[in-house]
Amino acid sequence: MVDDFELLTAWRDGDTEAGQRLFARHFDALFRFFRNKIGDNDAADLVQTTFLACVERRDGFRGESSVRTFLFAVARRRLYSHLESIHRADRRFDAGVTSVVDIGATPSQLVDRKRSYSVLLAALRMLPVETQTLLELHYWEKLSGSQLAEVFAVAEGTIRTRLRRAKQLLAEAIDRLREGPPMATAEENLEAWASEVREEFARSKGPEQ
Amino acid sequence: MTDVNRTMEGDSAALAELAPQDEHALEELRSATLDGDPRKEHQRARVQAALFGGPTPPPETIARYRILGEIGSGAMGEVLEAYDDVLTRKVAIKLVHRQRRSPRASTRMLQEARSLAQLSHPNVVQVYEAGMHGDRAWIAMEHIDGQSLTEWLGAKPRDASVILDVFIAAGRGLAAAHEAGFVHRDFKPDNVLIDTRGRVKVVDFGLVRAIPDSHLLETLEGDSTFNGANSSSTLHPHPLTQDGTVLGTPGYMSPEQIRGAALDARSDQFSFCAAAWFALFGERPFKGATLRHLHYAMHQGTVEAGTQQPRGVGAARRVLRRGLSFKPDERFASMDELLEQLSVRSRRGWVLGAGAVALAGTLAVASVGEEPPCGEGLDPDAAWSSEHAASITDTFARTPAPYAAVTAQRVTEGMKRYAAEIGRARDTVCADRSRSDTATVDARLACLEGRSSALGALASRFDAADATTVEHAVDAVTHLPPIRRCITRGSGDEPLVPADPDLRAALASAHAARGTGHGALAVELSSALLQSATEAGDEATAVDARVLRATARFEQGEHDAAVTDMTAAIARATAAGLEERATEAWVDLATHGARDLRRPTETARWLVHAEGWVERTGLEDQRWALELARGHHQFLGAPADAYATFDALAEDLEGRAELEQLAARARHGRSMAAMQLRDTEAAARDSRWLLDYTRHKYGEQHPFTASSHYGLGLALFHGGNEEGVEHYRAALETWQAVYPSGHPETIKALVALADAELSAGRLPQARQYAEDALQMQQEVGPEELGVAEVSTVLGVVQHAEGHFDLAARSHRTALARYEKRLGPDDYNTAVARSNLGEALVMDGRYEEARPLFESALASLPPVVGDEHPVLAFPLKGAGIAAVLAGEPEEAILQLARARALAKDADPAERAEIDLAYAHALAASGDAVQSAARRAEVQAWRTSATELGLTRLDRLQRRLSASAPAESDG
Repeated sequence: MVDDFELLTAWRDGDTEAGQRLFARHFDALFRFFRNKIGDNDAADLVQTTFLACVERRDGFRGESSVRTFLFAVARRRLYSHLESIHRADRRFDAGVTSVVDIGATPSQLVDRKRSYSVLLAALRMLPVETQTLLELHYWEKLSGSQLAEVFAVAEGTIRTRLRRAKQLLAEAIDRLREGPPMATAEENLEAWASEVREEFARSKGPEQ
Repeated sequence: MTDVNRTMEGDSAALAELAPQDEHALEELRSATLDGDPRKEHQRARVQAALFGGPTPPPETIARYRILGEIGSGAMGEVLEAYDDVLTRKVAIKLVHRQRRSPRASTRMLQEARSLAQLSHPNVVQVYEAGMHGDRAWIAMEHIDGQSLTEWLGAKPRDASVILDVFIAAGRGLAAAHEAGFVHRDFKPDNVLIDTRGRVKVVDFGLVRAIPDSHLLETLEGDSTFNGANSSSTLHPHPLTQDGTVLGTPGYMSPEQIRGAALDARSDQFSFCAAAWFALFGERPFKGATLRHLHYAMHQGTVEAGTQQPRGVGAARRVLRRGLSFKPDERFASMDELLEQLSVRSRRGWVLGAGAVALAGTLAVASVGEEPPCGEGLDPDAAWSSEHAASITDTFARTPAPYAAVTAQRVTEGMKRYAAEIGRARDTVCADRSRSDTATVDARLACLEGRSSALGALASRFDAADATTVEHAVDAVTHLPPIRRCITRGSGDEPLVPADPDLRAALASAHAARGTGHGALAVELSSALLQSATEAGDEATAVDARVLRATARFEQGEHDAAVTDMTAAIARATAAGLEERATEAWVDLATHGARDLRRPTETARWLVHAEGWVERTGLEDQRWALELARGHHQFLGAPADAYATFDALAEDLEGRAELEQLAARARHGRSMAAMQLRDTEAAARDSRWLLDYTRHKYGEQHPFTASSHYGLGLALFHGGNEEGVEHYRAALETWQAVYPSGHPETIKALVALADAELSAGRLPQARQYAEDALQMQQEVGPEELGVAEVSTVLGVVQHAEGHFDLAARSHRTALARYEKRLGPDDYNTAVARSNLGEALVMDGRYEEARPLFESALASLPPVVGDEHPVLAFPLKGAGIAAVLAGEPEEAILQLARARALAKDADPAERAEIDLAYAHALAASGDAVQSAARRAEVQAWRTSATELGLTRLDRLQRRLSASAPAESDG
């Protein structure tokens, strides 16, 4: 199999078939990368500009260990500047602190759905964009520590620390989303609470589950 | 860097760990987000065509709908803008993510959507149809060109009445859905859309239930994916989670929803009220850092007052409050019932005609156009500007008042608000003028001009502020005349302000003089105004002038002249058919009468008149004022009734920001009544609230705040709490700093401190405070009653010290003053006699003392009755004197009565009575009974205070010294 680097070089030299092959290999990952943060159309547009940047900026690909890493490094910068442009109007964007969602409320009805994807997805989106990106590239794209270091342009040791911290933040976010029922304030409330929960359980574990 | 790393590693053990199953699920999520999505394939084709040329893919379609673009996207899915080529209209399509874990969810959602399609209501977004696109479910619905309620609210400050109208319209949508058997389950401002023509529509009914976790996702997203114009809002800064510790702002969920319990329409009602509350008052009704805390706050039922306090929504607040009840049963039975209350009350508040618009489901959009100018003479900026603010701050700072800065701030804030409110009121009146006749609009604008004059006159007084003005400044702003009354004026109503600009200005400056504490000037100005108004034939303004003069005279202590003025004002107002003025004057008269305390009979009559007039005119604020007056009237004779009156009033006014000062007065009354009823705990509770309130409103060093300290000190001290002394000291410090030496308030604090130190047994301190107080009192008013009061305190301290000759001298001073000012048979005079008698007895001059006790015992019963505990003092004194005089039989008579009346007296007092009683019984030969009394004295000794023991020892010595034959036990 022709490797990515050869395909890229060929594409740069005008071989669109090589370009299409490279595109087919990486479209899903890049689209997924953007789509979990912005809408479909914008995501597709950014995938396009990411590929274009790789083809046009011949000198851009230097130290990276793989085309894939290079693509994600470009994609990350594109994402940040896109988010920045969205938010320039009203407030400062900082990938380190800004997350892609604003929590309007806390969850409920999580009694028996504690491991649903939705919780994970929601937790991911609660994190600062940089943290979310880091985790997605780690878990979804299986990028190694050194590859992540290239994408984020920091030392590998720093990435390990960040990754550890990111996992903690995610775990915390998940915990918060799975927070249990409120504390009962008096005994009769406790009783009422318990029976309500039993009732709810009976219903949700009924014919459907 | 290394340090940071180490810290993070060190902390990691304590931090949350990502569970292995979560890690696994996270990996699975990779495919869950994209696989089987036809939209991804479309995008791929699009990008591929753009990059490599080739045929552009045909426009994306879902069923027969041609996709035009994305409106929004979120974790739940996307909302697309599409075109229906068959019916040639735009539609919105909600495309939900594949429900991988719950295959039935899509089916369920389709069912739900199809039944929703049966529901048609002007305030509900119409659902057209639903289907599947690949394995993603979609719903096509009415396309709304507009914004969400969240955006609408955030766009600019909105008038409370308009906000309420939007909510009422949205509420009608909810009600219709409830009627059809749907529960929304996620009502929030994001799910209310307002189109460009002002129509209000609710979206997203019931989808929460149809899709597992959609509620979670929706609320997490913060923006509804059904939202009309939010493509840029997929990204939000998230301050609450940036440190990873605080849970996000809780939304509009009902408590039963938080518990995950079964929901019905009443849950929507709760969410509706929570959203409306937030919109009106700027704060969510309940707060909690976590769901537990939030649920707890709901259970406790303490609502947040809110950061905004719009006028005229007090009634709406109460309606919403009920909708926010913890128990669904305590809410309204239906949205219809709630809306009925809300619209009735809101219309009563404004009478804007907007209610009728809301009924049609449309929000009035103010027309811009070729109409003639309106309210041009009303430029609130002229009455108030930032230059005014700077100049007031400057002027205030030049007075010696230590609270000048706080006052300047409160005052300028208040005036700015008031000016802005005039501006808004003008806009409201002008916007509404197509529906009103010219005379009505003119009447309303004239009223607003009067309000503007009032503001201007106050600003002028502040520009020339002296210490008195600064002291009263905050209240003067609070008492600016209410603006909302202008908006409801009709041309046939009695005018609220003089038509003549000169009279208007004169009235405004007389009001400002009175409001800033310049009573004498106010009397002068209102006298001049009365004359010119009479000459001009302006009856209403003449009445205003008289009422104003009466009020100023009441405050100056000229009660008789004040009553004459007020009754004349009432007579003129009644004759001229000025019913609102007559009502206000009656209430004013009753209020001042009740405060005066010396006119109980007349006040009772005035209250009846006032009540009749209030019922007739239905002026709500006068009703509250009347209740306050009633409480004061009941205070002396029937403190329990007074307590009940104040209590009811305080409850009624709870949370009504626009009546905050009245509420504070009700609480003050309630605390005084509680003191009277010896419920020091209740008194302390209200006093603490009042202290917080005055601190915030006037600043720590304001004399009013000192009054609150004093009141709290009183409640705590009488409740046996040592902390009370600290509050007395705080009061004293402030009063000494802001008032000239010898001010009655300063003396009051000194006396209270003397009393407190005496109780604590710190006699030197007590004497120092009492002597300071007396010296001050004698400097400022040697002839005043205050001298008697302070002398009494000093005498009591000297008595406790054992300086009976000095004590006798102090009590003699008090007696002389009371006798002269209050007469020989007054209560205070009688008590002073008894006090003097006690000092004389202990000084060995019992024969001198006996006629004093006799006189006290003769004059007290007609005043307090035969059974009053105060009688125990002269009875005890007379008894001891009789023992000393060698008349044990006489002594036994007096002491037996004293003993019966002193059942609730302090233990030292009772021990003294028992001791004297024992001596009398022994002298009369009843050794058995005597021993029994002595045993009681002994028992008391084991628990006595040092001061009490000293007192008893002195009495013992006195009794033994004069009766050497007596044996001591």
